[in-house]
Amino acid sequence: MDFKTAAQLGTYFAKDYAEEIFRMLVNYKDISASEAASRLNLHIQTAQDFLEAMTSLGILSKKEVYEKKRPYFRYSLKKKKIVMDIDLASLLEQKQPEGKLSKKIRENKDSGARFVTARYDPYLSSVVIWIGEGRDRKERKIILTIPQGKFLYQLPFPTAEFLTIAEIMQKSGVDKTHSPEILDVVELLEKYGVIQVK
Amino acid sequence: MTSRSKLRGPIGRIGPYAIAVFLSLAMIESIITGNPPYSAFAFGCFFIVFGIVEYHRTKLLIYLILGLLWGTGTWHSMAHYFVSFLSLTTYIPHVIVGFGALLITWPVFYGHEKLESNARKLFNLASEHVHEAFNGFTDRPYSACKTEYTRDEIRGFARFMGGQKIVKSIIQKEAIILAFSMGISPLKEPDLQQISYVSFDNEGNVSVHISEYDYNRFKEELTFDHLCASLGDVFIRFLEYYKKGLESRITVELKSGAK
Repeated sequence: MDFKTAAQLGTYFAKDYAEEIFRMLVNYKDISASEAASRLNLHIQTAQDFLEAMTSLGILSKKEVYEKKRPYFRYSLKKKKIVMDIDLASLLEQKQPEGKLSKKIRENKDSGARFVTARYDPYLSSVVIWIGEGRDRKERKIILTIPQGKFLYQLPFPTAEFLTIAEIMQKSGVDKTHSPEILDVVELLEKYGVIQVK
Repeated sequence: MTSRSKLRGPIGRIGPYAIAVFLSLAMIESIITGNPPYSAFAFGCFFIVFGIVEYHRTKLLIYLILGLLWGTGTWHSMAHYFVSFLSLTTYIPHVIVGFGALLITWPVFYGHEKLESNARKLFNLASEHVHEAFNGFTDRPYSACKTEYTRDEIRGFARFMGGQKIVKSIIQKEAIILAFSMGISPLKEPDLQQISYVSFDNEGNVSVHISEYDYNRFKEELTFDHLCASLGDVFIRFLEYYKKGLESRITVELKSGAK
């Protein structure tokens, strides 16, 4: 199951009426949205949305039936067991390291970011950036991991020569196993205009 | 060195000139009217304003106290002339308190002035070889280089530099920080972000940090990484002199930074 599907499923499972609707679905052969709504004292639209979402996620099946000439849907369980199996390793950006580590970067001139150093150690502990404009301007503090702090400590100054991410990692003694977190912070700081990419 | 300083003049430099100007005004006023009350009032205002400005810059309370004592003392001198509510009998104790305060706070006052003057010399030395002005200021420390020293050498060097009032030495387990500033006094032990420093860690890494205030004291926006690198070189050179037992060369070279 991919993360998005799991998140969607989780959202619906978190509803306080979810268990009661599933209880009905297990005990009844099939139900309509109005039957579920009246039985559980819900608004018909709420029940309808829930049943439709479960159908789109492949947990329920629906069948169109007619009451006199008025069509409506009846929902039934497709499976009685739901297994949420998420492979978090799929979130690791496999394609990036080698290509993205050769990206040349340096600090952007007048980025407005404030770098906070770890008191006596040669690395940064956080970066404070300002986002928004005028009255909506807000301070955002990004707390850095130690490898990220060591990496940013060696980031070339705004007027210095550009260096590749791999070169900066080597200079700062950050192991290649930390590449994903380094690339993550570079991407974030690039988005906020703190890092300039050649 | 014959080249001109790339730094703006120190604010404290106006002090002697101001005193000369106010004394001249007092003399002129005395010749014209017989008494110099207006000059005395303006002179008192100058001391108070100067005390406030210097306190705001250095964050040392002694500047504010001395400014207020000397300013009000000067106003008090107007009791000689026409201001009836000022008593001449309290004027002498007021003057004694003013000078007494200077004597008591002299070690801090002198220490700060010496540190500030040496900070200027350090920045002058560092800026001698920086010729580009592309700005690029960042409040991040600059990783200057890696050099070799023993723990005892670097501690001895820090004590020497601190003892000569070239910098304020902060000796820590993890690193030695040599702090200096042309703004907030290092004697105040402020947040390191607010002052300039060069740090030597236990692995031989040398980092340079130049505060925004100090950088803005330069007339030109000198290329920041070059300035940091040059400042790092000055300290590494001083460390080498110290290791070779040539401490006097540090003093001589520093004197050449006086412009």
